[in-house]
Amino acid sequence: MNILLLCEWESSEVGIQIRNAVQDILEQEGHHVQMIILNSKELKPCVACLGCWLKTPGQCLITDDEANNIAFQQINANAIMLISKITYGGFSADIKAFLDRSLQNIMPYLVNYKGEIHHPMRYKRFPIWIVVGYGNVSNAEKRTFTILAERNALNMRPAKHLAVTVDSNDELVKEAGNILKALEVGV
Amino acid sequence: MKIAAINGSSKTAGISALIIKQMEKLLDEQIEIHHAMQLVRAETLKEAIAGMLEADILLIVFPLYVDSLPFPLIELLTRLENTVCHGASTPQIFTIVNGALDPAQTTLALEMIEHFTCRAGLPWGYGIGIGAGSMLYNAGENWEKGLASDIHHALCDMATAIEEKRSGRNIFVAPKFPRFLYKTVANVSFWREAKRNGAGNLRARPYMNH
Repeated sequence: MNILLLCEWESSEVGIQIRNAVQDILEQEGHHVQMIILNSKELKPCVACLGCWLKTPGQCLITDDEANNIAFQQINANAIMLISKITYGGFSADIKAFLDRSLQNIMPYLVNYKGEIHHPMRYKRFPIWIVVGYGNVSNAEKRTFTILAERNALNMRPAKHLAVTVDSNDELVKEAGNILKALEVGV
Repeated sequence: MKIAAINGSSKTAGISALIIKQMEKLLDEQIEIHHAMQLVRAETLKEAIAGMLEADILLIVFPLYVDSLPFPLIELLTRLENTVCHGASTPQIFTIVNGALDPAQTTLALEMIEHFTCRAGLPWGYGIGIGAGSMLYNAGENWEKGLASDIHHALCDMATAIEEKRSGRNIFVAPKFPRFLYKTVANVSFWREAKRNGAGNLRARPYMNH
């Protein structure tokens, strides 16, 4: 399986240990892993122009950074793993810089979905979505982070999704079984 | 009372700016406004943060981006958190999020601002989650009656809480507009705008490689 691993540029030592451990765990299982380090200082912020919906459907109008290329790889991977420091219960700025620009991979129209109004999927399938949040944060922040991953999945509708929160690399290793299990569908 | 505001929107004249303007009117105070997107890369960042921390109230107003905060706002809050001098007087935080049709979809974003206040040791006021924020472009100058009246009431209550330096529970509110009509109007306006732009197929899949 091709797995796109999206990590932060501004990462702590624990964050680097976790992303290396994730890469090792996946590669040992025979997966092909492509790691991309996201840097919020290099990715331009989304300016909410809706150009990716209403001018060049499916592609962001900002073309002097890597966001469109990463969005392309996102759609063509079998699974996406995000590794983020939990920041106020959400993603770190580096990870969020790309997520804000990934609007291009969903469609503009509004539809009813699970009792709420959401946007339809642009592509017939969205890769498996696995989110690993780390950091020495409160249980309340971890809870917000887990629900956020669920909310994101409502918009992107991956075949399967999983959110894991860990304090340390040791805890990540304990979660390896769950992560690998989440990758079992949609190959 | 010194009131500062962070506008977390990418637009300097968008809905967040309109909301800040309404708050300025209700509070009858000039609000010192900082735009997160411009500020995070500016040389004046440190001075601006010092100004925010000197305020009695810091109002954080932003649009919902992918169920949470736009990334320049996350970056700015992180810088703010790292600058807070514990023990010094600090501003009380109030927040207003404008999001998708269902105001409840702003719940997590409001929680995130509250988590920020916990980490930074700043006193939390409360937040307002506004649904269908884009409708407010059609609300005119006076929000007291019509489409935005419920939002006006929520802002009035927040202005009173700010004056009294009270905290409270988060409030969720939306413009008075039927849900089915909102969906229809939005879909038609997407189609029209795309046609005007000569955008072609809105359902295009340019990245499909399989």
